[in-house]
Amino acid sequence: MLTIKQLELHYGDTRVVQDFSLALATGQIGCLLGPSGSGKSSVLRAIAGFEPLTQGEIWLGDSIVSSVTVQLPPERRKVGMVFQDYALFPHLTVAGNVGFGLHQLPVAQRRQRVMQMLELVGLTELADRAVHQLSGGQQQRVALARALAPAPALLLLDEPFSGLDADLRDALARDIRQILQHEGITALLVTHDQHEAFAMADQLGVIVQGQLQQWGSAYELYHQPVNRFVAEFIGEGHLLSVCREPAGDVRTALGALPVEAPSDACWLLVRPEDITHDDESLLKAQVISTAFRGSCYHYELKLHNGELLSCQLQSHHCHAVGEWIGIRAELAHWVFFSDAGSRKCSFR
Amino acid sequence: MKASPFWRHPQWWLLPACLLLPLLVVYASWGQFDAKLWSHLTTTVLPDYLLNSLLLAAGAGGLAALLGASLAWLLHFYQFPGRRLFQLLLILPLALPAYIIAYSYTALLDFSGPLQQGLRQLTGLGYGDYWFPQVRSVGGAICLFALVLYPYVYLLTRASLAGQSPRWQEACQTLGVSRRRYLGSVLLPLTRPAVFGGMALVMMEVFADYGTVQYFGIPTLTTGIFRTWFGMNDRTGAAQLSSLLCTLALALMLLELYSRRQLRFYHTGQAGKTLQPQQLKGVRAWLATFSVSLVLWLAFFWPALALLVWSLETPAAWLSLDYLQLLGNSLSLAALSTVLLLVVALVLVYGLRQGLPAWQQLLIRLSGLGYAVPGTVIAIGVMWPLSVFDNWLDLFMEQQFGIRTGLLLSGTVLALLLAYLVRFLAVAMQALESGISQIKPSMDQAAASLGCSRTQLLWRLHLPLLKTSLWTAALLVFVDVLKELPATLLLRPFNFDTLAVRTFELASDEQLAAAAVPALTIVLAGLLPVILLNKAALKS
Repeated sequence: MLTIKQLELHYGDTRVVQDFSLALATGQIGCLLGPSGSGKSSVLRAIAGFEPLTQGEIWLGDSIVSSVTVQLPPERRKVGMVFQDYALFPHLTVAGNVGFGLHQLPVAQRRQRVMQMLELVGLTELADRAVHQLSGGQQQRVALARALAPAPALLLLDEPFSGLDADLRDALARDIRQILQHEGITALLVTHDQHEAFAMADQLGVIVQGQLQQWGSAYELYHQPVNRFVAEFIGEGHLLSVCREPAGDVRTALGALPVEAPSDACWLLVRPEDITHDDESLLKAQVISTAFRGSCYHYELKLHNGELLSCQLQSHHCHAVGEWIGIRAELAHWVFFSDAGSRKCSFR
Repeated sequence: MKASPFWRHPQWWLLPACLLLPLLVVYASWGQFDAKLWSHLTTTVLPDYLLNSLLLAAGAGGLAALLGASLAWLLHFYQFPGRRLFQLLLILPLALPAYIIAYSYTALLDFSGPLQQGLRQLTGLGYGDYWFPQVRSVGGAICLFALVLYPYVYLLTRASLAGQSPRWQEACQTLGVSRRRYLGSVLLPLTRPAVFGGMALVMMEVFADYGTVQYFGIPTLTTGIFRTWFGMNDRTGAAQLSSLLCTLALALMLLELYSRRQLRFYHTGQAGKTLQPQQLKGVRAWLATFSVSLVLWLAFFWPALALLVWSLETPAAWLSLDYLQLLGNSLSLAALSTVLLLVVALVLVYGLRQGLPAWQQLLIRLSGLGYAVPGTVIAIGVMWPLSVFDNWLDLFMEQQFGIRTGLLLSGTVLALLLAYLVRFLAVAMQALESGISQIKPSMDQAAASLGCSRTQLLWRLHLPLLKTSLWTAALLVFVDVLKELPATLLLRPFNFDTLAVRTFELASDEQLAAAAVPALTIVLAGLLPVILLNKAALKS
């Protein structure tokens, strides 16, 4: 449905996006995840047709919409967009906003489509309200309904939940995913919040400094990160140094590796769930801080060689700061990085 | 902490109530209804008064709206030579009071003025051989009002266009909506309240005008009030006419308030990448530059330069004792009123911040109504209670002690100060409120937690933070008082002249050249707030 090939974008003289390629199949929900200023919104605006390309191509279906020479105007792309600030028209009612893009339909059909959209987002009773009377979550639904009303081929969502409370965010993300899936809509979302990304998307990409680092499922990004950028941006965890002994043994501070590491492996990724507590274990670590998280305690630990680890233990396990506790490493995924930062291999 | 009962703080109920008194008095005048007078008025002059007032307001309002909105449109959407400079210069006409541009244009366009003289020399025609538009007419007044008052519309429209989110246009594009439809069904409705709001302000100014219409000999409600008061010596009738004018002005204020409410929802305050103005090319660019320059030339530079030339014809006038005396009177009166206005405004604004009960807040808000009400109306409203008090005191003192006190209050500067207080309080309050809103209650609490007492709070925190808005408020009201004509004319003590009054008197005696010196002084003072406005606009 959406294909981006070697996209490059500039703002003035600064290159904000480079060598950016991805493909999104019909009906899939994709997500670009990255820190602020990483260029993810620029990609979205380029797809919508607001930013000219300096390199590469953007295809919608089997027609090219953007390249260095071609730039189809935004209004002819059939790409819907939900803006970060919603950009609702303040002088129109909810229904007026939703029906704004349906001007070519006859009145009766337009009204029917508006009601259908409002039903979809659950706002039928508020059709005649002014938009400033709505709550943030309701405004966000109106923005979604407005963008969906003309039945766009692709829907873009720019940080759609950034203005909302945390608990509202999760609920709305779930609702919107359901609506999009129900309608079979292809969508691309941009966010800096990985919980949002995990809750919404089928395919995710991490973008750092204008470059797409990895494109895959949430599972792949979490368990098989291709480089340190991705490993550090997604989820928690620490890197332990890998050293080779003259005898040929390969060890980390956790002990000898039970798997074979690639020859240039320098770092091992250890996630908090890889570490369990075992009083019997000979491997000890010192508690340096604890944080209560309801279902569990999050511990920051220091190993005998000074390297750091984190782990999560059941909340009735209570250890004081400074205490040495026994730990056991149970890694399901062995993710190594070379010094240069890219992943060498991983084992299941 | 228990709130102390409201009567312990008369500054937050008695003071605003007193400030509201002049307006109430004007309406209370209907208590003495003189059927004979009113049947006389309605059959003779009243229809003319009303018709002319409404015609002037509607004509000038419409023309100013057209001019101001098109200028704002042109400067917001298009790039052409001189655009940046024009953005600064286009509000200059605010420095010209309508009565001064009226005198200036009359002298410029009259039979003996430079334009017609030049025309005759060029064509060899003589008196009566050709037709030339009469400046001193309703049409002339409408044009002149529109020329000096369009900045109200221009400023509000410009702010409204700048405040609109560029996302709206993008949203329209993603919805497949054409640019024409975006302009018609999003941009236009979102800008309309700003244009209407500016237009309401223009019409208020036209209703308040006395100097221009009196000079042009157009009978309106303001001149009618003067005539009824001085010519017919009928105070009740004058007050009743005032109440009519006041009602019209307050209706406009409601319109302005409504449009401002709309705008509050329309402006998202979201800063985004603003729209790049479109570059005009060739003839169209020069046409844009030419038309904006023409407006500026007609609305400010020509009349102001004419005043400058005339005032330099008699350079000695700038140093004459008479002029210095006028200047002294005007400056000291304005300074005195400014101090009074700032103190009262500060007290009331603090009251609003204090979280007073709703009725007291409303009372304080209402005490600012005077800004919408013509100076003539306020002067009548101030004069009446003061003269009633004076007469009562005079009678009482004579009966009791055999002393005649005469006009103790109503003939003094006190009456003037009161009128200015009522008329310009809102200006001062608005400037101070914007400053005080930046002092968050949490700052007070932080200071208190650091051991700052309430008086220290005022000196160490509030006054330094309010410094800019205090100066702004002071400058605005100072110049407003300096320019105010009708209230000064009605209330000034015997033989006490100000710059505005002398300009009016000299112009009325057809001594237009002599009027140039005080007139130019007023214009120069008027430039100060204009510069301030530009500085603020440049910052934002």
